[in-house]
Amino acid sequence: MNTYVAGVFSSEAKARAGLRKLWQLDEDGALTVHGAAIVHRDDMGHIHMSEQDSDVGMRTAIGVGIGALLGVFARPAGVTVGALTGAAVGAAADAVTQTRRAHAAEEGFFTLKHGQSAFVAEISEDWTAILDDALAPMGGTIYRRMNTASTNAAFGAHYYDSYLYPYEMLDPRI
Amino acid sequence: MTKPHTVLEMTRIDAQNLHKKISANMAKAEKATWADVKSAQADAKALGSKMTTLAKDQADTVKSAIQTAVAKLEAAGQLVENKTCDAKDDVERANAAMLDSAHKAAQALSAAVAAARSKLAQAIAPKKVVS
Repeated sequence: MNTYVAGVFSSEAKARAGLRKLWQLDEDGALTVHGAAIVHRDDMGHIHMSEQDSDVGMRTAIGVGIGALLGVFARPAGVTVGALTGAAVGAAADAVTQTRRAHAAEEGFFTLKHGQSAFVAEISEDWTAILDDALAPMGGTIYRRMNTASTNAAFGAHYYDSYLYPYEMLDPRI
Repeated sequence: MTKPHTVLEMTRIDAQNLHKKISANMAKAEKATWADVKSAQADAKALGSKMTTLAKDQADTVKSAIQTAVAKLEAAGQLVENKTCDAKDDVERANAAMLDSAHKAAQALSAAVAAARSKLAQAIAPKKVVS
């Protein structure tokens, strides 16, 4: 059974480091990442999703879908690791925008406070302690949600193709 | 630590690289050419061939996903240049189909990799002692 996982951090740089660690664990065979992305909530409360300029195919359905993606992690199933405590569970993402195309989107519930960033990913893991232990020194909070038919129904038919990259997405600003 | 990759893992990397290559082609926008598409199609054909071989050893659900992805790769690989329509639109349409097929391939292969890793993890997991 696959799991959706979100690692919430105090900055985008830390979230990217967390994502790097996630993919490293994949390279080591400790878990398998099926797709992942970085999201950031700015000081105005708007959610942005990092993307590669090149990946036109990823942008097509991002508007509505991202609300559902964030909603996946709405409930407080999180495990706190490191210094941060459970963040703003249930806080409404009052607007959802995409980096370059301002889409109005469904409201979602997410655990990001203003200014925080997270990696979100679909993974397969046999022991949750592997990821928890790897991320503990980096701080942040990990949330998990099982990938079930009802969870996926919220995404729509092409959810996966729309915003989770099947490999580590480099910072588009680099 | 970097562990040696299995054939399944290497094929997954091929699918990820194909996805990157097509994405890069799409980033060229107006400058993307049909030659770029044909290059990606050649890679897709090679990937599809590897996946077909690998599918034989997979469990039914994984096998089915791989076969579906191979069918998409083959369909995208057979797109030919339509000289009656705008070249830019033609390349864009082909790249979009290629990207979708590469994504499906990466997904199917990551599911196969996860299944194999899980099987191995269960095999080496400490067993309960029965007293």
